[in-house]
Amino acid sequence: MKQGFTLIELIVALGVLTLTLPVVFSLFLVNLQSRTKILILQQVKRNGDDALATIEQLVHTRAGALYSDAALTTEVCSTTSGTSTPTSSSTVYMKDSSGNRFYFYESNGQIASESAVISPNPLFLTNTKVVVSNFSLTCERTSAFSPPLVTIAFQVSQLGTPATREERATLYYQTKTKLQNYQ
Amino acid sequence: MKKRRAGFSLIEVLIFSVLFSMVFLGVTSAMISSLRNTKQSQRRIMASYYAGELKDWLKGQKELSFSNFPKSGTQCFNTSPIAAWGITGNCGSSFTLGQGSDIVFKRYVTFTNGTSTQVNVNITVEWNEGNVVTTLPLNTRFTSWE
Repeated sequence: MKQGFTLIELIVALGVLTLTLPVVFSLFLVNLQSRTKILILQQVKRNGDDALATIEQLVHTRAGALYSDAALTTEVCSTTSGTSTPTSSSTVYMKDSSGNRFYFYESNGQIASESAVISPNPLFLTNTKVVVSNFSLTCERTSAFSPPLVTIAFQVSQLGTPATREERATLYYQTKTKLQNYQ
Repeated sequence: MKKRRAGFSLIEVLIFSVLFSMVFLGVTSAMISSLRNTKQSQRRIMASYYAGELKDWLKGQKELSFSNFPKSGTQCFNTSPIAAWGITGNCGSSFTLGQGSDIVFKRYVTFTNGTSTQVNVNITVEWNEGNVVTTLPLNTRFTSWE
């Protein structure tokens, strides 16, 4: 008589497997999720760090004067009175020492920089894997003896809207810089 | 006479279950430690962001007015994004900085060697990793060129 497994033995074996396998797989899934979260966070942080450093450096070293219109006729923040300070939604145009115009603005969730001397035009400072919102570049002048102060602020989030709050990655960036070559 | 064949002997079953449980434990512990590592690096990324955020904000305040910029003392900045100067002290034991379910950080800055044109800025982000306090320092020196 050739004896195989009895029904009871099979049920016990299956029961043990059904208890252990989900543990392993759920660990594996949680692992994958937190790895994805890290990749997203890295993307968001790298884009934000890079964009802020680029804008700050360009404004600090290149900008010679600030204007509120594209034709560079209305200069702003040239006096200490608050009336010439642009609002956070308007674009500030900058003129460098050679007379070239350059400026930054938010375009479909990316920070775009436009200048006559760069190519391609506009040049995007963030990639399409992240979304930039609330971008603002404003200026103020605190005293007649110091150059205008430019405030740069924006927030970078991941693409799409994840279901849980824990998965959402949004980082805020803000800094101020003075025009080094104010004319 | 027909020989009766049993399924498995006790030894065979024992060897199988020992091997199986060793493999199972190995896989599980590897996954748990990898999970811990990913959590650690996630916190490290956030800590370096918090340190950089405070540095950018302080730099902005320095540009705004260096004469009003603190030249000594310690301030705690446990809110993000930063909107105002922090409270005096190194946050003590309040690890209330963070995002989502990961509110485990504290952040403070110490100003030293302040003169009328320069000040040393030492930013520290601290958090508990298991029972170990992990620290991420960011030290810089602000200069006023006016």
